[in-house]
Amino acid sequence: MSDDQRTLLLSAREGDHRAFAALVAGCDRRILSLAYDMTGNTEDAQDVYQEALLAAYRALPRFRMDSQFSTWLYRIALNQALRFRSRRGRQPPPEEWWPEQADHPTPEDLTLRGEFHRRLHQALGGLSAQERLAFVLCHHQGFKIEEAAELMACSVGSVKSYLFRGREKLRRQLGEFLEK
Amino acid sequence: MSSDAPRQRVLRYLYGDLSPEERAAFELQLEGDPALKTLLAAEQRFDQLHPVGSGPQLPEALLQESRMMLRAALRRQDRPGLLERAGEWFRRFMAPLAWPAGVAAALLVGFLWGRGGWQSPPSSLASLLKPEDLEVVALRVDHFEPATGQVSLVLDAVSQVQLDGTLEDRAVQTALAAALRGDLEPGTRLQALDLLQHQAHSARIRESLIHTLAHDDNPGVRLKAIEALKDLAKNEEVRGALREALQRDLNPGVRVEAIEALKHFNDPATLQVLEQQSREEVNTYIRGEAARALEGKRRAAGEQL
Repeated sequence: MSDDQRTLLLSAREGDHRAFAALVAGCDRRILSLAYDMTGNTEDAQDVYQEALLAAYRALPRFRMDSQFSTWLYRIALNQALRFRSRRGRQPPPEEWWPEQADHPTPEDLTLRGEFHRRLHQALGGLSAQERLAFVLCHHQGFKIEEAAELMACSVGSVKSYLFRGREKLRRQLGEFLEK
Repeated sequence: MSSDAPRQRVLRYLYGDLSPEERAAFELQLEGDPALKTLLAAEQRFDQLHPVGSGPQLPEALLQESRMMLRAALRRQDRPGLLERAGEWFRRFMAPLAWPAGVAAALLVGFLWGRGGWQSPPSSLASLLKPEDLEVVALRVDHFEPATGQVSLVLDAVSQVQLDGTLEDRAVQTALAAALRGDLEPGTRLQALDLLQHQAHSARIRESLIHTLAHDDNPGVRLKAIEALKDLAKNEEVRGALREALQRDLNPGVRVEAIEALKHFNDPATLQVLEQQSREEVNTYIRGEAARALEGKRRAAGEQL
């Protein structure tokens, strides 16, 4: 943890909201994206984002300075997202905020992409919470398998197993797109 | 070795989980192993359709809105948990007492008003309210003396009051100015600004607009506040707020409005800020405007000589 972060953390512990906002500013974009990835819609993502960061704010006195603040924060966010998912059950249809991959997509590209993402979202809904989490962390959010293991508080072998199994399920569900 | 081992190796390769040596060995094997090549191609097809790192890209505005909502939630959280505390207090102290004793307790009542802490409402705002308009939504027990039954409560009360009048009416202005400083929806604050912007000649309204420009979380609201203030830039207090906005506001739109309002002024403090912005402003347009304003002033000074 850097000196700047330490100073901000100490101020945030004293109730300084601005210090807390500055402290989380480096990683809250990823937390929101992760929350969206796990919930599938912006309203729920904002709820998870807020619940996670409020929980982190309340838990600041228990944070050990010798560990990585962002990892601690992501772990809280993941737990909130998982709790939210188990409370919410089935998810509403996705909103389309996936990145474009072609510079000048044709209408056919867009239609195919839209359909692909709709089906991907459905297929993600069919994964177990751990499979989905491993896929979201490693495939969408770009975490290394080792980092995902730390966040999910499980072994590297387990993450691989969740990730590969989840990916295989997705491939089966999306077979028609892969053959095109 | 499991029959799925080659696929797992392919996936470890794609997710960057192989060591440099394992990676080199994998790529070497790939050249002479068509089955492995086919397996890799199949997995790569999935990655072409949905590449690693291609999570949803949420709009910036959504993040900003989430941050604003978080700040509001943090502010609310830091206020005392009134109902919880009151409930606990009543369980501890009131349960053993007979109800008549409770009824007989003298109540000292205060208000929670405004954002950020405990305070009495501005008397002019309080005068808009009647006791029967108020609904108690939270309560804090400040003090209780079991021996005498003396109790001091602080109430969080809300009220719905209809005000009819013109924008010139003091009561209407007071309510709108209070709304600007309250913890309300940005849309409500914008509505209040819409109504107040033509009343900015009033010192009270001007003060609220300056406060909004300096402290409101929402850039749209600050933009509206600066639009209302820029016609009053002859006032030094307003100019001070505009200079602060030009130097510190994170939103370029707000800074553009600030420089538009300030560039016609020649007082030393404004010139100093223009000078600084002509060197340090990150936005090209604003930096250019600051430089052009200074250049114009130098030219005018030269012509006069």
